Amino acid sequence: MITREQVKKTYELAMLELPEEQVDEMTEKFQIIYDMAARVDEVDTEGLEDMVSPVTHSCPLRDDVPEASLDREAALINAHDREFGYFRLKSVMLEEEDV
Amino acid sequence: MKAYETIVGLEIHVELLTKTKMFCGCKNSFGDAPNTNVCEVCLGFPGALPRINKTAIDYGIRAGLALDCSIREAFGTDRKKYFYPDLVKGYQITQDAEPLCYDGYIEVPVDDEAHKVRIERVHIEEDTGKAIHNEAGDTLMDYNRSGVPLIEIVTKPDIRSAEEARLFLTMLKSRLEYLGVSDVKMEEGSLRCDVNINVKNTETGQRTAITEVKNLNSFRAVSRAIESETQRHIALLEAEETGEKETRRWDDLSGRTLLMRAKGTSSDYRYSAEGDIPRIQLPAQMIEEIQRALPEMPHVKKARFQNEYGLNEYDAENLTGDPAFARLFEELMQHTKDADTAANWMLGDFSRQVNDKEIRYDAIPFAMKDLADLLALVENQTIHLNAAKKVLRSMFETGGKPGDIVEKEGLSQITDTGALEKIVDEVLDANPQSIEDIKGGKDRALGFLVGQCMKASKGKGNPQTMRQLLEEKIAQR
Amino acid sequence: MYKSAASIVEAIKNKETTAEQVTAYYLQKIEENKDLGSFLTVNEKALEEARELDARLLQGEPCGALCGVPVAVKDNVLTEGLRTTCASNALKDFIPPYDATLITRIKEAGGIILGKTNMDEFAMGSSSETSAFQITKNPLDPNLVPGGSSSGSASAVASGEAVVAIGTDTGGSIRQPASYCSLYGYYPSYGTVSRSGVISMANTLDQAGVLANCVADLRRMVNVIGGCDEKDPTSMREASPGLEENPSYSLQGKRIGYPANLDAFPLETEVKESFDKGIRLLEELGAEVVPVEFPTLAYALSVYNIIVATEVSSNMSRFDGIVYGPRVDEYQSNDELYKKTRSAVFGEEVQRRIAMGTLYLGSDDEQRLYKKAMKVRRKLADEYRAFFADYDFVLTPTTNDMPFPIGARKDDPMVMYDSELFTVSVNLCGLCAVSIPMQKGLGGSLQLIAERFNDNELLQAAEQIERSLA
Repeated sequence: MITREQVKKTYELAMLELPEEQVDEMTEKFQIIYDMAARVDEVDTEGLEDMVSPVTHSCPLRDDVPEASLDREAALINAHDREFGYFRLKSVMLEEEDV
Repeated sequence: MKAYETIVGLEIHVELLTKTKMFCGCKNSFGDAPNTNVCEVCLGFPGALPRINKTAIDYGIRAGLALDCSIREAFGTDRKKYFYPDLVKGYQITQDAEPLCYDGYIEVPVDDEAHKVRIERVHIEEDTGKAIHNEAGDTLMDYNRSGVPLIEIVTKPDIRSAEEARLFLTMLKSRLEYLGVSDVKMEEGSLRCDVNINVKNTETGQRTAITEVKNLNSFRAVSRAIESETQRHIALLEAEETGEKETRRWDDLSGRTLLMRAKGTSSDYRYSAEGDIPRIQLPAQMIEEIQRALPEMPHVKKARFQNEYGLNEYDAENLTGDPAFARLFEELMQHTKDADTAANWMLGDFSRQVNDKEIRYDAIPFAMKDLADLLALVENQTIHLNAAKKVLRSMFETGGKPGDIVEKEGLSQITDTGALEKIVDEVLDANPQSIEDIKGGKDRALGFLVGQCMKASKGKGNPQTMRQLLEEKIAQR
Repeated sequence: MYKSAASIVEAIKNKETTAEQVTAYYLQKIEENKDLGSFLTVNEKALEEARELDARLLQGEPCGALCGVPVAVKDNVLTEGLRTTCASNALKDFIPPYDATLITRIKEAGGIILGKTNMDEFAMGSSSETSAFQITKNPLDPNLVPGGSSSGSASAVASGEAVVAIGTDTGGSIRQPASYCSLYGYYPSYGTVSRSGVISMANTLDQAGVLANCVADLRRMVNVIGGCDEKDPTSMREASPGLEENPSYSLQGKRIGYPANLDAFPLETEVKESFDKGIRLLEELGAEVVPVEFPTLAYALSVYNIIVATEVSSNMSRFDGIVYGPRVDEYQSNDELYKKTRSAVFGEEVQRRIAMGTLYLGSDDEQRLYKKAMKVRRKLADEYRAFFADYDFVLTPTTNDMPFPIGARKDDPMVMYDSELFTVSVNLCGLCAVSIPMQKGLGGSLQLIAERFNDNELLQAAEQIERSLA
């Protein structure tokens, strides 16, 4: 059973806002999708290994040779806010407040 | 009288000295202008894909082998998810399920016994960017460090004291230096250590909840934090509490830890397999080749020094702390037979000169053979010890050969006993009061007379011979 | 005017026309069909680039495989200097500083990028209705959806605004719109086309592919864009997919299986009719077409749902407005910055999928469903491998339904997933597939599926079917 609390906590973890008035509806939607997904429980997978991807070749290993970096202007061009060569976030409270 | 046991595990991050980052070809370089070593991959642009650095894997294997770990030949990578501005993708590529290296150990000498501190894992991962602040209090992000290769070393909770932790870190640092895989400088951030600690009441078995301590910037801080936390945990147990699982920040000024405000639910990292990186199958022989090319580890070298050169433990320990220094000693030993004397010189005057003049071990201005020649000059009494020290200083300053310096500065000892006796007689004649003092039991006056003799001989007398002659002649007077 | 990319290349080679004229023609077509909403951004430099190509050709530069061919590109593929949005507010002004590898290869072959086509936001959807900017209409009937998420790519080709288009497919996003718009759509074996510069939705399922009017164009495009890319470690190791024409290929004696329990998957009437027609056609060509049991197929959608959600939830976590993208300016903490920004820039479907993935990966039940899904995926792949030991192709209808009216399916989360019924297992198992329209106007399409990296034979078979339909 998916609970309201679970849905709220999930949205928190995902860094998304879920307005209180939508929680019930979303919980229902989640339950429907979850039930459909949980059908995988019916399948016997004894002795089977995980399949992460269709790729079967071994990962190519890159040689430790420097390559051209992005020009700094190109790197910063899409930044919402910047200061000199930095990406800037307007002042926020310290995350780690001592208690 | 209750007995408490401190239980400590360490989580250590080490920056690797590769030329490029973990997943892209940007330079792995400290101190460059902000955001000049970045690309779409280490900035987390959409559509950018990670390309794993072979040398970083190599270095990780070296570290694992040096810690007596088993090494995996095939492994995957995983995503560890949390949100923080220095983590551009919102996840870190790391290894959760299949760490590159596992089940190793370091034996730490505790109370004259070798205590095994087990190493649970050594795995590869990427570093985050850095935040600094401007005057307005804004956060400025520099991603030059984003994607720099790291290895994470996790011990099992086998450490039992602050001192043991400090020793463990010292030995770990030494091995990593030997490997050349990292600078391992805590002050520069290339070695970072978090402590996981709790305390157990050995009678009742009651344990406190584990505290994770962060923000430790030196081995000393690690040590102090463990002591401070031990006290805090004991106090909890005495108050019949166990506390809660917490993350605390070490505050060096106040000498205690402070609770960090919990970062929401960010401790659920929701690991998942990294699908952009196919499973890595190491080329055949790679691990063997690395093993073969591995330099001798400090603890192995130390034991060998004790065996091969007959050195005592103290000397062996100090000669093998730094691999370059050990190399110099062994070069010296190619040209001389007396290991103890060689060790004394290396650990004494040689080290002093190196430290005073701030010379690097790869920049000594003379060959170790020359130092061996100098030692030989002392051994065959051509010069005495004090003169030799002067010669060494000269060698550091000019790079000249010891023989040449002795000749140029006229430092050869007077060995002619007749000449020496003459000097001794003259000094004794000039210092009748001292003779009285010595006969009266004041031995210090003898030292004074030796000094006078050395002065009269312009430093060319052998002080031991002088002393002997003085004693003989005083007895005769 | 031009039926295929091949005919454009021929015409330019033979100097019957110029790249500039061709590009101008298609730009005009785009202008005339604005109402369909195929394009989000038209490349303002397209004409200039075509002129430059003409100049180089005059200087003696040899004609590449896509010489002067204007290409429409789905807006989740990075194009240097040309706005790339994924139809999302999260990237609404994003100007990539470099091209995706596949774009570079198109340009090197002489292709001209016409513009960026509309899609469902971050490829999550099957109708274009989750796009943050506009709806796309089906050129065959503008009251209907063109399918998705490669909605604009499909409508552009179907309306003649482009002769060929790049799409991406994670669970059917090329094939389903191809079917809805009666085009050819090709999902190449995972790894054929580099994903470097293709914005990830589900990174072990996504592939860029092609929508076109004929199989020859599918082949031509993928030969250009496919092949090993050292920027993408998941890309095939071979330098080129090496797809070849084979006019004498025959389906005679080939064994083709279709799911035995098709009745369990309700098909709309026209779809059933097209499918039956397809079976008859294949039998006439000499193939043996038989029902086959795929016991795990019934679970494919469940596996797909879990895998997509979990991969989406981490692929989307880089959108935080710090290095790129819009960001709210009022926040009291880092957490607030993230929550407010992401909630503002992501549409509801995207947010829900991220949340579902977060749920599946959460520690509450130790990621039970995620871990199970990876094993069922393995089982499904094993099942197909065993199948292909005895058979040459799988045959299914591309979708179980016909294009639906715009707005008809907004609120039911399940229906959106159901229409991917027959397509998702291809992505899950790394197989390859082509959607083959059975008629000119609206109607069902056949999906022909081949073993992983048997793309060459897949296209040759599809081409034979194409010849028979003509």
